[in-house]
Amino acid sequence: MNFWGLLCYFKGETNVDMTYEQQQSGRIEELEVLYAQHGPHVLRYLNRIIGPKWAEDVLQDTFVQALSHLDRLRAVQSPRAWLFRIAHNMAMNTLRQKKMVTGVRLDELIQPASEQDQRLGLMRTAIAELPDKHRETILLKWYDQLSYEEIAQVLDISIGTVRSRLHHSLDKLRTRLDVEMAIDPQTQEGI
Amino acid sequence: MMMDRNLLEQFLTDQALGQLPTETTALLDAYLADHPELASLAEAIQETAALGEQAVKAELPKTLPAFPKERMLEPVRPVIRKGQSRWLSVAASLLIGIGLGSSALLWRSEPVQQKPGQTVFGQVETLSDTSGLQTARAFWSGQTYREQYEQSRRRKQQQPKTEMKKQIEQFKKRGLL
Repeated sequence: MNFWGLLCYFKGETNVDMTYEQQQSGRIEELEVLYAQHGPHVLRYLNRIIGPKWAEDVLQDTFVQALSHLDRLRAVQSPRAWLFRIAHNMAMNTLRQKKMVTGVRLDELIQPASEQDQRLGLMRTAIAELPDKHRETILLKWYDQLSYEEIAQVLDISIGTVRSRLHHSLDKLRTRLDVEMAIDPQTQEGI
Repeated sequence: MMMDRNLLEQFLTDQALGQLPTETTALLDAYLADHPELASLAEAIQETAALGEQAVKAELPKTLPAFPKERMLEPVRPVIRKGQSRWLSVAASLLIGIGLGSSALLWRSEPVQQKPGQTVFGQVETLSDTSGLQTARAFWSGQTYREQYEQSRRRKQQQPKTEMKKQIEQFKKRGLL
């Protein structure tokens, strides 16, 4: 009998071990549903920030960690953003432990299936050259398909900051593309 | 009336990213209809957003590792983090230090047995050692502080009387009494 079992015993609850076991298995089942629902999104996010080599291990660590903080799930609006936040922290810990540099090249992640539109390549380069914070925010929007509220929760910033970062990023990208296309008019052929 | 350029661009960005509420979208569309010169700006922002999304679009992974159910069923052990262990070791070192220091103090202040034919210097040492022992014991029992406190209290109680006497003498000297 473990600590929780003893506690239940002193509280006068019968079927002590069953109660704890049932509770725990209920939590695990709940997480299993979340895993099926959001696991692929979290894995895609981890592939991007830590690379495919460690992403699967970190995904499992994320859900093991989530079990111990499952009570907080009731208070959050978006379970996906909550899982992304845990995954983000776990990924940062792994990067620190392995002494790795964060970030994976965009062209390693995205297979350029049809590059008839050269502007896509230009756009990827322009995104890669954005400041870290702006790039991360815009990738959470476009690559991970999160809403403003979810991005704010993942990055632990205000929605106003998310809006501002996205506005500035989009502005920079637009200016950059205008300049590139003015220099190289061939890129306009794909339009 | 013209809207602030930054605010307009912010709204257009929100719209392009699909985050503008429906009512605000309707208002923005009405505003743009009244200001056709801004249509190109709206179009450019929409186009950049669409292109950006397309440029980084990635499929969801087709395979997912197994759900870590076995790991979740393992009993949880208390984890001592790096930072915590450092503080624990500092606290343990301090406790050991205090313990060793106090025992050394008590050991040093043990009274030396006076042997027959011992020199006067030895006797003096014995006396000082005994007082050291008393001091050490008094330190731990708080006896010294109690005595000091009592002394100062007595001094304070006596002080007003002496000052009063001095003042009376001064009055007498001046012939006021």
